[in-house]
Amino acid sequence: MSVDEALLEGHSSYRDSRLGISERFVRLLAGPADTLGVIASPLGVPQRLGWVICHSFGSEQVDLHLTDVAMARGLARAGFPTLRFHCQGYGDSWDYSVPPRPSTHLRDTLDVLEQFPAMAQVDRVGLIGARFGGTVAALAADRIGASGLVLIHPIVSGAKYAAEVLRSRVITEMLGEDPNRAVTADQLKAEMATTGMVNIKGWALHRDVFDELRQVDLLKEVGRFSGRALVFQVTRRRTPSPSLVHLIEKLRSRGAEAELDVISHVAAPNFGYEHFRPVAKDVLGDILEGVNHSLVERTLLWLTAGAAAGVEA
Amino acid sequence: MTREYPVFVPSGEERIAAVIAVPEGTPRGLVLMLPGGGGAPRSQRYGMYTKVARSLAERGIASVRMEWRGIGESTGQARYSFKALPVEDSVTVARFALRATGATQFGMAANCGGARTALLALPGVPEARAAVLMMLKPRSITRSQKPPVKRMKRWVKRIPWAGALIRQAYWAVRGWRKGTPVYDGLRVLNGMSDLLLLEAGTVKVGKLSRFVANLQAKNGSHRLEMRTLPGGASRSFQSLERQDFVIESVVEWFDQLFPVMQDIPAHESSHRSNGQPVPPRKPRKTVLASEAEPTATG
Repeated sequence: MSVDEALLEGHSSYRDSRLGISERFVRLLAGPADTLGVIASPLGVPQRLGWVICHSFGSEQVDLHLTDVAMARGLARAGFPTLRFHCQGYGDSWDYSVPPRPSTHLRDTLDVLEQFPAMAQVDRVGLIGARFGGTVAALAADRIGASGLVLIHPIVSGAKYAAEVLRSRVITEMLGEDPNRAVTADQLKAEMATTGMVNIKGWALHRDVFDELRQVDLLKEVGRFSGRALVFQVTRRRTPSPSLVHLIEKLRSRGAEAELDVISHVAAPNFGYEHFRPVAKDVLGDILEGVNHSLVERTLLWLTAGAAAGVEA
Repeated sequence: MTREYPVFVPSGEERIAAVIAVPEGTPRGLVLMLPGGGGAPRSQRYGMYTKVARSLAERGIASVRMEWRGIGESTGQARYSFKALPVEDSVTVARFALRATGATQFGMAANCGGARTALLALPGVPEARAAVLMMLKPRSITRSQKPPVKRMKRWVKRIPWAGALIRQAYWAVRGWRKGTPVYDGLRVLNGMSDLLLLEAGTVKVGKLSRFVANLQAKNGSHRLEMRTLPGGASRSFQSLERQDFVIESVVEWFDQLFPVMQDIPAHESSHRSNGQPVPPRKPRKTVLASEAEPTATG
């Protein structure tokens, strides 16, 4: 008996009146191989502006994927076709032979951006990303002259981020089974220098990838984007982060209309980390649901305000 | 050549997202992969289940990797509870994938909450023949987030030697009762299916080794093995060595247990057991932790 392709193709999409959206899987070419994406679309007449979501780096891709999904569905419900996809080396992508790195994220995103308008029937494109996904979104938006940009707690300095990635393993071990044997950041650096690789919570971080991460500097690399940009800071505090303030200033200096929005939430420290915790007796739930809800709500308000002022993204 | 079909499978009011991977020709069987309850999507963290799916397809075996409700592309609210496992969703996706691929043999590979789901779902699938259950941890429960409990746990962990003894004593006091549903499920499932258990050496495993040894001595004709995962006390799949071990073990287990279909071109042209009849089943043997080898097949 052969595969029932008609049955499979017939289930590659759905339409849900409760959610107010339809979604369909799409096959994309990203870099050297195929990958999968999902286009979320409104049930009514779609806007001509569509959004592409860039996922984050390493283990964060999984830990932030529900933020990406919430944004995609929220934007689609409001009329904006939105694509989320896997870069090579993640999820359902086909090329696991090369460890993903900033340059492959950017390459794959630029490839997908060429295919998206025809697939979604849009003529303008904005980019969204959380954490390192925001960094990639900003770099891609700068290259293609995107119409809009939504950066959710983006990584501005790759050097600081690379150090944070190492620290994340240290912290995990300190909170783990045997904190007395927790590795130090210096030991990890020494290991990377010796063996060319360290294990970051199950993610093999290679020295060349680490070095490439360290080179990323949004303040230097973003120079041409002049559209509308919304930058979120997800924090427990209410104080704006200096690096995000500098990013806003940089974007404005290049003619972009940029604003910073601080989302204060008790679960903010888990943004980009594991975020399933007990929410009731014997039940684990996503403690970032509130953050995701705020992100969607405020993004839609920002889009509405822009449209009302005649300055659409 | 492996083909993959992403699908949304209706289940109740929700859609369960899954990717069905099919080999050339008629599949020897179908393996459903289900992640645990920590928010991992269908591909598992580090793409582990994607890698398993493609290795299985190279051996003529189809697979479907699915998500829990509210995770990845699946709709619904993300909630994990050992008291509300996605058994119906798993059976629904299994039935859909069996129909779509034409496979007549079925198995599951799942970890943590997914493994507990498999214990309950497999008896509802008559085509079930084999399973790999990872980190079943019979004594595991939802961790308390109460600040005093968390403070106490941190304090205990910091005491060298004594801390470990206190923790062992705590888990011993929890007793056999907490693991009973898991042991009952294993007893039932091994009466109908070949089982490979992959466990990390943590206190939450409890008396599983002894239970498995007892079951082996008393019970039917199905294979039952338990192997210890490398990676020491590292969590979940955070050890790279453990990831490789799991991928190899899962692929090897189903490659050995699903019958060879002579009309599968890809199967005839490559890989170890390709073109060879399935080796006769050996008497069941429990591989104890101390005896476990990455390539042991029992």
